[in-house]
Amino acid sequence: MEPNRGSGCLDGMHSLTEDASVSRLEARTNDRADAESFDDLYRRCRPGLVRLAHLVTGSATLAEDVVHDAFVGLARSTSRVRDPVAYLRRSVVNLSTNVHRRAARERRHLATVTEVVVEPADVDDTWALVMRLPPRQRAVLVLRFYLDLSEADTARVMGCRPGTVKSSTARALAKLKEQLS
Amino acid sequence: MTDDELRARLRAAFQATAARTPIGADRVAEILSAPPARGNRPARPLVAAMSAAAAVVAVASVAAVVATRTPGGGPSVRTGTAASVVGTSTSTSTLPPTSTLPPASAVEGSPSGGSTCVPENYYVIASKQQLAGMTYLLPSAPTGYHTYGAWGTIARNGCYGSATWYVEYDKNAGDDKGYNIDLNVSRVAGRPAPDKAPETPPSAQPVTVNGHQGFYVDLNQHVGTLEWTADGLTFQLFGPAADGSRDSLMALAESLVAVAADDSRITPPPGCDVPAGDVCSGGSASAGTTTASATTASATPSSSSGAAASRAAG
Repeated sequence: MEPNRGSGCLDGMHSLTEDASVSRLEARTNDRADAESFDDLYRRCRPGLVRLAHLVTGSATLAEDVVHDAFVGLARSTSRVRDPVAYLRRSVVNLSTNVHRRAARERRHLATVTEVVVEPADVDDTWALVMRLPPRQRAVLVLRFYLDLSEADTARVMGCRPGTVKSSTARALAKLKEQLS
Repeated sequence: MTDDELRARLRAAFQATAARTPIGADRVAEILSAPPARGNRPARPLVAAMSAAAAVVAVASVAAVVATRTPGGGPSVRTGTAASVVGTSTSTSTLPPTSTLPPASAVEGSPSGGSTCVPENYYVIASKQQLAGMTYLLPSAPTGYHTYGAWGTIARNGCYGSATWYVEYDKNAGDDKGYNIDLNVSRVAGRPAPDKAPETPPSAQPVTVNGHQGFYVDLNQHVGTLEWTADGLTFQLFGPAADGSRDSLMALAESLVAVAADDSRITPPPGCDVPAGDVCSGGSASAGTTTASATTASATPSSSSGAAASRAAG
């Protein structure tokens, strides 16, 4: 299984051009068709985005909320978004790294849910250490080593420059290395 | 453990965790059935909750309230042509500046509260006024370094009044060894900077920087981070630390000087990557425009400089 691939949602920056839905989206001009397009995009991209958000937030529950909010944001952007997949990916990362808000939300949410939430790899030392990294460092690692984005593409998603991605990656890897050694 | 081994472990951990992610029932109907928060209305700010959960947080006064000014209809996605998609592939900032600017009240909002939060995912270069008291620099770039740039942003996903000041010093050309020196100074609106002592990570060494409590973290014997708080601001200085010694970084920290926001030593970064893709969008802003806006623009949507400086980042 390659959870970071598929459906053209979390691949490289050019994925949209390869996705058949692009032509469908382009062809639709009325509101009804646009709504259907949104629905298509939602169903196509949501699973991958939830996985991405899970990795950055560390919480499957939060991931669902983050992705929902990202789609709400997209819906509210009406007709102005030219690259919805990039918009969504960036929204998900930005929302996921807002850890303080998310933590508060998580506590509230967890108090109400009854289903079993599969917590990520609590037996996995590496994941446990990743979860102790600052949110933006964790996000950089996820983008670099889960989505396999380049430093430049990671910088675009994170809203920083490539040098910052490089230094953040170095810091994060150094911390992990020290703790795993 | 080698770097390759570490990366392999990371990839395995990410893949395994992602594979275990439970995907709940979709909520697209919830989005599509929501009353439209837009329409052909006069261009004025609307305060709209992003979701029930976000609304709760907004009430708690720490959430970003989305203030929209959108002319469109129902939920929709408009893609560009294939060519335009390719054309924007070098940037994930996808919204044209003229359509994505936060309303004036959101950007220039008064500090009195209310809907003075920055819309989610907006990147807005801070004005001089917003950076008042935060513009710290080293007196000059250390030997072997040059100033990459200095700039500030009002906080993403945060209430208006929060801001971060960035100064980065790069190694000189031809010197790929070592680490850059990065300074971040941040201010969170509505509450003082937290005392760094209670947040000190286990591996940290307590320090005092110019009389202010903080800590130092040795990252890998070659680079470290100093963090401290002073005057309601949180400082973070990342840079080289020879042989694990914090002395050189401490010396840099203690030499920081506060300068006026229009000090001639403040030079914005070159090019259009501050923040990446958000300033020079749509091919409408030149590097020169970026340079001008990066430190001087008031992020007012109605101004041309504000238009250049403000971008939505989805």
